[in-house]
Amino acid sequence: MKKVLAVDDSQAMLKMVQQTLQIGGYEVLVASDGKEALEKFRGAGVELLITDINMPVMDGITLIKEIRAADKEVPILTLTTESEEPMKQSGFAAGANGWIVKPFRPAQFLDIVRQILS
Amino acid sequence: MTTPVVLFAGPGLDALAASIRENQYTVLTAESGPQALDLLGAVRVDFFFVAAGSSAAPYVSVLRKKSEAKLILVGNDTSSVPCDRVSSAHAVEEALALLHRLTADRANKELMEQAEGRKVDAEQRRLEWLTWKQQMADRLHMQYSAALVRNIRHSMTQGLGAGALITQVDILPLLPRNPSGDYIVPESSVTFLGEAAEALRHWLSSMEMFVEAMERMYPAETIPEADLSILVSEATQRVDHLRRIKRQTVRSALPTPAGPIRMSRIGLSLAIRELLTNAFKYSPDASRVDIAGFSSQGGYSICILNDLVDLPAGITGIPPERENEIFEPFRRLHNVYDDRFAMEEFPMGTGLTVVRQAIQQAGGSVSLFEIRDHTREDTKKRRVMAEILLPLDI
Repeated sequence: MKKVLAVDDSQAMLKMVQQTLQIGGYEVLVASDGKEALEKFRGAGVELLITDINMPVMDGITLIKEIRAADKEVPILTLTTESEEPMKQSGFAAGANGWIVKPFRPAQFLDIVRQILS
Repeated sequence: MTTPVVLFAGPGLDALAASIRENQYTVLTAESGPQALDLLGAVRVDFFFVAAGSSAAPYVSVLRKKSEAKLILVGNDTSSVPCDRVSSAHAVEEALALLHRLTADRANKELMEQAEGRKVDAEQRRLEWLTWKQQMADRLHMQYSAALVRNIRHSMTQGLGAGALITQVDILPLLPRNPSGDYIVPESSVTFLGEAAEALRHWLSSMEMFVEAMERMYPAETIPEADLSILVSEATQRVDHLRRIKRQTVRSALPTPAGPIRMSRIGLSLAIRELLTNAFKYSPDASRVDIAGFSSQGGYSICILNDLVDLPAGITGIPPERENEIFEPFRRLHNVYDDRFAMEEFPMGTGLTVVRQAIQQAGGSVSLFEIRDHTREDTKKRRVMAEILLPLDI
């Protein structure tokens, strides 16, 4: 079972992402901020990271940079309410591979995850 | 103004021309009508004298068409030509007096025209300024409207609420089915749908409350000095359920004001609740929120201070250039959303707008800014301070 790490400070959003990914047959790890995500990522064999951008303690952009410093290969998707171009650009510059704007469509979301992990 | 140029056309005017020249006029002479025409074509002439009945007289109508110079007929003239006249070629004083008057008239006319021109220019500039101002107002209005919609969208799609409800409904068709084809919905999904619907309902009713709060009147009344700390304490109690979320503590030290306060009780209570809610939301777990008071010139300030949530890469605290922005409806400086505060009184970034409306209407003012708190060793750090300035009732 492929392992996905989902990061969001909103517990509501985290539950929905987790539920959607579990329906798709993935093992899901969750974290509430970038710092917690970084700790869970190390050595866990995560094959996909899905992260929010606006979070306390450590935001998504910083998390992406930190992950990229350690792992150039793992795919990273953002899942955020931010839809403005400058923020997207900074996300891609940090090392994100995809940008999904909330509220997400679970079926499409699963399709994207499947394509990335196939 | 330049020296007036005077043209004398026709014979018998030489002596008069010489006298006029002696009086600081530039004088030109022409022996005949055709010569006068040539001169008028080459030089800008202000006045031209023509001897009545002379060989130049038949050229008068042509000369007038060719030049804007004023015609002065000299001698016994019985024609009905509309112009100024001098009785004879010897009437030097009369000619000089006429020239002085016409020169003065011309100067006045030029001044009037210049003044009129300046007035037109000023009107033009004013019109351009008004047009520019209107364009700027329209542009700001459009930018503001776009920002407002963006802020509402952000608010509604974060955490619990519209975004969560939509997504959870979208998840339902992905769930497994039983042999009869019915979806097997986990109890947690049903619970979540209820929570999201409840949060959305709360937001909708809060939007209604926001409109009501913005439209209501907050008349100023006299608040006795002894009542102030009671009012603040009651307001603090009303948001205690929000304080407990992050286990923060509140320390209040409000000295009695020098006299009664002039403020709306309802407005002040609302402001304290909302500013405390913000302090709880945007400060770390188990941190301390301070309520302080001090007398200032002609008034009394209530200050609410809180520590900052650590946001390493985003906006932390309140940058000075954005101090006013935070009072815009649906505006939040950063989009970190905390589900636990979903049931606050004015969600979605509307609270500070209501606070400013209530306090200003009753004659006070409210501001939020970042400070360095050096009062204690453990608080020698960046903090956010909300200040409500209340006028004394004098």
